[in-house]
Amino acid sequence: MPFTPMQILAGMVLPAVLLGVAIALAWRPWSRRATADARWVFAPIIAIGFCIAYWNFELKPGWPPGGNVLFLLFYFAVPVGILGLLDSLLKPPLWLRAVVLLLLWRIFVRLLLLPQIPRQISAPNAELWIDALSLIALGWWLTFEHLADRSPGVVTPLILAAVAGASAILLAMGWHIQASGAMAGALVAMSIAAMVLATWNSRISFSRGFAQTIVLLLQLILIHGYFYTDDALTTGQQIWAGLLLASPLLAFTGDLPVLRRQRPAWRLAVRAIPVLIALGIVCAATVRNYARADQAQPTMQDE
Amino acid sequence: MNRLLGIFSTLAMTLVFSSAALADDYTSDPVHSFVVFDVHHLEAGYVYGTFGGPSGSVSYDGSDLTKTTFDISVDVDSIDTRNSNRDKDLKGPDFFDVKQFPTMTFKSTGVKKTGDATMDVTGDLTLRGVTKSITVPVEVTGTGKGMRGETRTGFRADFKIDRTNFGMTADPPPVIGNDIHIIVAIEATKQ
Repeated sequence: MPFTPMQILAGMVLPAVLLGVAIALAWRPWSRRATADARWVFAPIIAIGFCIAYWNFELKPGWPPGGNVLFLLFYFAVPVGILGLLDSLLKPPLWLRAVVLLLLWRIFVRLLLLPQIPRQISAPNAELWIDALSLIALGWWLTFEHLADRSPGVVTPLILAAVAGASAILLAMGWHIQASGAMAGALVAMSIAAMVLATWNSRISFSRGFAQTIVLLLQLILIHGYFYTDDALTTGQQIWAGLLLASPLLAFTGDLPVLRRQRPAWRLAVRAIPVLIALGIVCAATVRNYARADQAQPTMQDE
Repeated sequence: MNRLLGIFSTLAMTLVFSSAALADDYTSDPVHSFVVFDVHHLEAGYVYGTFGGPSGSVSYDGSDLTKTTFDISVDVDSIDTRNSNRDKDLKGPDFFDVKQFPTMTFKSTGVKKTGDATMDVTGDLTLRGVTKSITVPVEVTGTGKGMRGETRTGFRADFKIDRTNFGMTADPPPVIGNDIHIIVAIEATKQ
């Protein structure tokens, strides 16, 4: 085990407990009376939980953050948390949220890629990557916001926990970045905490705060991992990364017209199972490749 | 006229003596130079690894070791511990972060002679974007002639660094020890 029990307790369990307590206090799932909209609680607490995870698993962030691109993961959590908080309090229209998110994301991705331009990525290619990654972030954000709006309850945190879990395995075993894998694990733990409370009370809404913050923080870790893993990823690794990115779209199967009159549990299964199968394929392939490489006999490099 | 001659003779003598005191310039031969390291694993055995031959320059004067200088660079991507998963872990952001910090360098800032062929070299070690001043004992292992008649001199340093001082905090003890034992052996060719 590359992490100490204390790191796991403080870096994964503590953020989940913190979020669970915050949700319980803000939403009062035990109360039968309708409570006020408390979505404002999600973004700041998830951002704080992410920073706690970073503090436990990563190099302590220095200032200014330009010294090491890794520090940006810690500092980016602050604007992500503030964005989610403003989103839940001010409730701006969808188009405005999308524009702000795209602008913010272009800045984030540019800063993350900056140390590799032009040594590893040419300036024109970097622009293409910034465009593509901003569109992917927007796609994920729209998908999960839509899911959270259409299917209150456990669906959104369940699928986010699964996506973050598969990302953790991909990061730690496929891309060889265990600390990033552990931070994705912290997002899994926080999603599970939300899922448990949503099972208790399905009034808890995960749009405008929860889904957005988890999605953006997970995207940050994945982008950093993809560009800073040790070497060029094989075609297989690229395919698994693509499948991971596309997997949330499979949750739309629950919107098929034939399922409209089905029971909620049935619709939940139809949403979750295709996503879980896709993520299962990603995880199985990643673990198999890791095990194969580990079992291979060590060979001296060519002279 | 006498004053002018005096100035010229002083200038000429200064030039003669200063050239005699200059150290010779050497270039590291990466084929015959090595960086080897070992680290305690699970407080049980040791894991060994190597980096590709260091490149750079050495100024060396056998008659006055205090004039020796080192400016050495190591390609971190060349790390090899004979296990591809471990090598990828080490090259990634958890450890050396080679995409962001592809080289580690050592530039000497001062030398103290400790014996006929030994010295303590103080210098700036830059690793993973962090620069720290360290002092390493260096031994001059000998001087010989190469196949083309060129003069070659060997240097060997054997020292330890604390990896956490350079931001490598992943897999803390007991998984991987903090102290890294490093041997740098350079064979340099006189220019």
